[in-house]
Amino acid sequence: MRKTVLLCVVAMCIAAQSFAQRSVTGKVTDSKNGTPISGASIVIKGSKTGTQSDAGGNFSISISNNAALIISAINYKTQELLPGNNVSLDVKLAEQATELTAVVVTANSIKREARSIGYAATTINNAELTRGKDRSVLNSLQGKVAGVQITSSSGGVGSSTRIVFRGGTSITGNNQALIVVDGIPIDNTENGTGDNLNNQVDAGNRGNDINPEDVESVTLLKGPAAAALYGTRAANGALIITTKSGKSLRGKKSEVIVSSSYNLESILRIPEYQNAYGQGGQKAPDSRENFSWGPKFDGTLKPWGQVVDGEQRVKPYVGLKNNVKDFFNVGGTFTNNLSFAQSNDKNSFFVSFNNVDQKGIMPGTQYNRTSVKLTGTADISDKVYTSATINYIRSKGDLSVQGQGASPYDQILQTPRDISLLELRDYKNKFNDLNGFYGAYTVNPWYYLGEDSYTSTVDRVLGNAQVGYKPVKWIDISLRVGTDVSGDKRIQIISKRIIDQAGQNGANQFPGTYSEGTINVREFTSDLVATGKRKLSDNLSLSVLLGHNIRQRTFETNFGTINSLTIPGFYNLANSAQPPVAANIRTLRRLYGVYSDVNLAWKNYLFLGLTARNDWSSTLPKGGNNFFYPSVNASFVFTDAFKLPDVISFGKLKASAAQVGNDANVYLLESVFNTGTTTDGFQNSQINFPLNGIAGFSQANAIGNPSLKPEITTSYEFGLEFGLFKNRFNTEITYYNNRSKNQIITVPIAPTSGYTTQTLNAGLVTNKGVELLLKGMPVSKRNFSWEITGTFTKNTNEVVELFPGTERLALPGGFTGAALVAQVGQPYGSFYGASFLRDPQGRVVVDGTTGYPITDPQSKIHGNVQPDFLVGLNNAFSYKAFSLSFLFDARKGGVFYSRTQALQEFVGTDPRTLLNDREAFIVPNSVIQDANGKFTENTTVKVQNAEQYWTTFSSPNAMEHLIDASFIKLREVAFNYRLPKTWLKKMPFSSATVGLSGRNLFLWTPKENTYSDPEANSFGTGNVQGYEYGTIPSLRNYGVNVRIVF
Amino acid sequence: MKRIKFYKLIIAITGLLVFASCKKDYLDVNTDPNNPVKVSIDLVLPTAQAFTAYNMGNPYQIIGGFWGQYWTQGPTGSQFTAYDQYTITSSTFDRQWINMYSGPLNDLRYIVEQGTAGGQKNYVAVAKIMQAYVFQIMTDLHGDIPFSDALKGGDGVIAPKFDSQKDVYEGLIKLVNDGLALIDETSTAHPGADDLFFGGDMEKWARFGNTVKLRIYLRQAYVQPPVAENGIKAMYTANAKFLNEGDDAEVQFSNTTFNEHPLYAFIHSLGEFNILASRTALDYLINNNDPRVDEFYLRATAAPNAGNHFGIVQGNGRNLPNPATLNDRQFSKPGPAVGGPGGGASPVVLMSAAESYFLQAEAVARGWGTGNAKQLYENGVKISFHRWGFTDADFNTYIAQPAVQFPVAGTVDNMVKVIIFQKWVSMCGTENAEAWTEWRRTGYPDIFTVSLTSNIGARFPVRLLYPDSEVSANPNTPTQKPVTEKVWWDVNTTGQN
Repeated sequence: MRKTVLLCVVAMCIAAQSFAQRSVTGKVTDSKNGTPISGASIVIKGSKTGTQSDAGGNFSISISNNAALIISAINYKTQELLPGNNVSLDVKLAEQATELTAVVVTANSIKREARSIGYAATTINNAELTRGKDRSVLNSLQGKVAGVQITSSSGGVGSSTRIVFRGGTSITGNNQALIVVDGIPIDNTENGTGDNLNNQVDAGNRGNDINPEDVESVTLLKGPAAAALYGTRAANGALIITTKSGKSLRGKKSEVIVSSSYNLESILRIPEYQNAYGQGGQKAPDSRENFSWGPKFDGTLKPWGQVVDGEQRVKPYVGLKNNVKDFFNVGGTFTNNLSFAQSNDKNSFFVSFNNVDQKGIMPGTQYNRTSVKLTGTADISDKVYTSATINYIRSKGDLSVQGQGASPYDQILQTPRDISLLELRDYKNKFNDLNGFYGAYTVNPWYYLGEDSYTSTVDRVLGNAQVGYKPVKWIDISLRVGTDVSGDKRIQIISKRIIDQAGQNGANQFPGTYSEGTINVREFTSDLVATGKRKLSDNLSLSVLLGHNIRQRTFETNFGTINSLTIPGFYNLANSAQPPVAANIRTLRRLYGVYSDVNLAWKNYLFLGLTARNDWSSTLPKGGNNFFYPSVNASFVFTDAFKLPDVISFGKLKASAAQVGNDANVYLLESVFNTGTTTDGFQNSQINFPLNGIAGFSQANAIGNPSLKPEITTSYEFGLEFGLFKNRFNTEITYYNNRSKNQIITVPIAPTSGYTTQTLNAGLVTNKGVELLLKGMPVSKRNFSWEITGTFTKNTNEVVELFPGTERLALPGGFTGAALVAQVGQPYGSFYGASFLRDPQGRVVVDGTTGYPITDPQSKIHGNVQPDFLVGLNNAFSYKAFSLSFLFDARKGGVFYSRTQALQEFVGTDPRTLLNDREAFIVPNSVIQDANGKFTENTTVKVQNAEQYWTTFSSPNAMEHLIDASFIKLREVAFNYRLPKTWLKKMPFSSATVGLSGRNLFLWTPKENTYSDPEANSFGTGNVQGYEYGTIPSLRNYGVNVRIVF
Repeated sequence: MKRIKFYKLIIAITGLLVFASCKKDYLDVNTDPNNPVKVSIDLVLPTAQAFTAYNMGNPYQIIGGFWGQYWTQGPTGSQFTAYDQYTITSSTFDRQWINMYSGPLNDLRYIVEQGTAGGQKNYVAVAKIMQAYVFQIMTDLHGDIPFSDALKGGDGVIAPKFDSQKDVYEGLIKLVNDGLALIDETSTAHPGADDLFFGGDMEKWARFGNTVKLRIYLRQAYVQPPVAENGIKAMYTANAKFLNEGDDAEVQFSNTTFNEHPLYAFIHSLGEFNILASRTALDYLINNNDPRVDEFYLRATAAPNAGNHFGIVQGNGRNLPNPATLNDRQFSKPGPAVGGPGGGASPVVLMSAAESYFLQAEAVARGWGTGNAKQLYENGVKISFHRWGFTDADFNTYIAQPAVQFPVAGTVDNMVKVIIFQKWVSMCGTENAEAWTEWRRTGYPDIFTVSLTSNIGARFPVRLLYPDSEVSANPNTPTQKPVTEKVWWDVNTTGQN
């Protein structure tokens, strides 16, 4: 605590006036091995005067009495010292990498020493974060932190990323972590489009707007204990991002950083294909087909496609092995970053420019993001300090539709094995246009890419301002106000397709749709915080924080759509014989709370923290809208308390218990009416009121609940941290147990009640798990070091109860056949549906005469999306100026649904459809049930028609397409070379690094997965995970980068 | 620094902010700005009517079309293969069950409640009569259904009990009677343009109510004849008036997107190749020289049948040889007048005037009503001809054919057979579900053929299943019944199962 107080005093920035100048010399060395550190910066605190150490670590500087020196060097912890009367200084700098007494930024930007925290908090700094050169902060964290599951949805440009800590806790609510930037919670919504299955577009999530280069550090507060002060939205943990400011310079006066990278992108996993049979059905040719159930390839020249103007094209009848691969582009991302930081004793500023320019693998898709960030701090007087940040981000995505419907990838997957996709590229020539196109059941994918589009253009401003007042040394009062405002302009074009109705492609005619609209989100946060720190005795110190918080969130959408275009190719809402359909939604929610955080420290080794918060929310019933939740945490650094063998260099025990309350979603208290609309479930066949000029309303299907209560998550956590051999080996192990009960869930009720859902408090979900972080430095020589970091995550999730009388609840957003459900007694997210009937040994029961499988009339649970465990392993080597690191990321267990498999079986491109060369076969591992109910192995009854088996039995049975989601990925590789200082002498810059980096370079999966990256998910970042529904394949990135510091 | 001052400052600032934010209305922002909490009943009646029309004119029209043997699955599509295979499941009509109960039925309940509280008697009358109409459809399709306990979710009844179909039928009569008793034709307080059926004409509502009541009684003609007989006799004694020519209960649609005839919108959205003409109905029309065939069906436009009517034997579409030249244009499709291709602006018929006459004819033929059965029967046919744009001369030529003449000297069953045959013809493409239901009740028309792709053998389907949403959320749901199990009033064995 003494040190903290000292730092505090220094931080008061009370610069002593100088009286006399004198010269001081010194030597900077590595505290561990005594090697001299060259190029260390030595600056007089509170001035611009400074010098650098030479090759031998020596320096000399002229200072006044009482002046403090700040000594810093790259990869070392910055040190401050008061020379006093010493004329010769021996400065030993500790390495940053093995530092355990780091500062952690916790809730509400409160900085605390890591050792004093009684719960798990992991910090990732900028260097580690930006190693792989990914555009997304969230993606960049993959595999680096225990207890966290991060999945990137697809390989489409600008796609979204889901981040979940310690499993899902909420049955129907949000399960993602809260993202907080510089103390201000930011919007992380994902606004997709389409109905999940049809015309699905992944337009990214707002959390991916943050420029990783601007990030100084990311702290992951994994449990409710860590986030107790954030309340409601942090029940799932919080991701605390601290951005760079001029104060990050560690004593340097100014710094300019220029960095650039160029990464190539290719597909990580292309489905495997059969190359034996071509277009047609039942082994007969059919030039209209999307089926590859035709005759066997024979290499002869054959006509294909339609006869147009008396002409028909001819090609050899062979399978095209690389057809799908050749369709895709090699993508590329060019990232440029420029930042400038300056600092003096009173003021600092930081400005950065960043541009990401991505060309997608799907031809014509692109994503561009530009951001400008300005942060300034100013100490107006000894007692008043201020800071402000403004960050403007503009992103534009030209995206591709995925899933089924007007999706290019869906058409690609259905292309017969002998039809060249590149041959179809010129979609305006007479053989490839809408009328002449070969396929009667598909549309030329190049047509969709060329004529249809989906764009999202986002303008976003994140800003915050803070003013603080320190009336006395030990008290700090600050007010911080922040906002996050974004406007997302969306335009979707599905072109008008005019097709000759007498021709074979007549059914693909389409009247055209044009839709444009905006999604506006505004977050406002205010925190008024007073902190007092007092030493109560020599050994006991106390800090008390009192806070008041206001939070407001506004969400608005306005969309106009025309569903029938008059003039083809002209996109304006007026271009229709019918008035445009307008739709808007507005929501507003408010919350305020008071909170307190009290910390006691005994001799800097025993710590106790207590928090309490009370919130008042607008979304809960009046009179019942306030809720209180406390937390307690403690840590004990036993290595400081007891004399232990030298081998144990650091040891800490920690424990915490916490509750977090959560309010309801907006507008759940009252039953309402909707404007009249009804549908049969097919696209575009609904009725919408007004009907012929008559307005109409209908009661909504949900019953309002005027007595909703807040939901409460309770968490217990225990952990141990220890370091061995002078902290060369460090371990952090945490066990946690979370119980989320009384959840606000929307449950289905009998439609005959007049309603279909009711929102109520019910249910209990538990998560128990272990997180393990291992860090070791097997080699730590002057010129060579090797560091291993391993993470292990095991979370056991269980839906303990739902609500009385209900064992199962379908999560909204899946699809019939393979519904994702919460089932009592099972982990959250089980696949539920009807599959083939199986005997007790799991063998398929087939019909005794036809040999075809019999369908089990009873729907059952057939698998779960939750992984058994996750592992990350990073190796980092450094040799002189070279450094190399590679990170493996693995997942064991869980399943995902693959529509690619279902579709490949249907159209006959899956290698599995070559079973017995498509002749009659016995269903593998099948049994026949006799009249007495006895099962005997089927050795005689063959399925006569292979095509029928695959297309009408196997393909439509969704439960047959659940695939093991295990994988090992080479997630990240970085190879860097720091140019020697001697080379740079004549250059204007102080350091320069060139490097190679790659992400997702290799993917290993179980044999049965020949289809896709198991992390792919079509349905975005919500609770419905594990559906690869024709998702744009995920990417492998690799490229070069350069970073220059002036 | 004086400490006391500073504490005051903290308290002042904190207090100010807390006070500012604790203002009474700061948190009072949870009223949904997107959806009204309360609306007047004149805004609810049109959705109740239109959504009833949506389901009757689209999903129920299609299943009635297949099982009433007007339509069958086309060879190049597969959307309704299960209808022809008779393998519908508990999910097949789940959406419609939800739509009907949480849509029109619940909205009609709201009109009854609000209208009763506000003294709007005519609205309550309309809502009750419509409730009877909709509940009868639901029970005729599914058998036992929640009725007396239904629509009380707002009062906490979220798993209603099921009533036997017999009890439901008793309740239906009471509902219609309650509705009829509330009609006040002299009052100026009645619906107007918001009444999509009759524009607020309360006399027509009385006629509609009586015709619905006659339909409800006649449905019981085989299962409990005395109830039907006494009920109908009482109606005639009370001089009940029924729907006349021009009084068809229907909802008009238009060519505006999302205001289109729902069957048309479906066909337009999913393609024209799924629903094609069944030879059962098409051949009957052709063999009897019925000019209405050109209203009910479009002629084939592609060789070898171009310019002619051509149908598919029920269920045989998927069995047809499938050369590359096979396509849907070689067959007849539903005509624009009944919501087929080109029919976006056609109406959905909830109950036609022709049906009113066929019901009256049957009542008289059975000796339960008064009047001339032959006259009533012929009027039914004639009104149908008029409705589809044909003249008296066309009608006279048609009715002169021996096959369609009324057997004045025949048995009651002979008469009923002819009446139901012509009712079936008149309902082609417009009241399919009712026609299929009447076939289940009477066994007529007795020319149905078991679908050639039946998966249940040589049997017909005679009910819909209990839907998943109800089964999973309502423990009171009875054990699931197979499609071959008859509903309560279905006791006539002629021609089926």
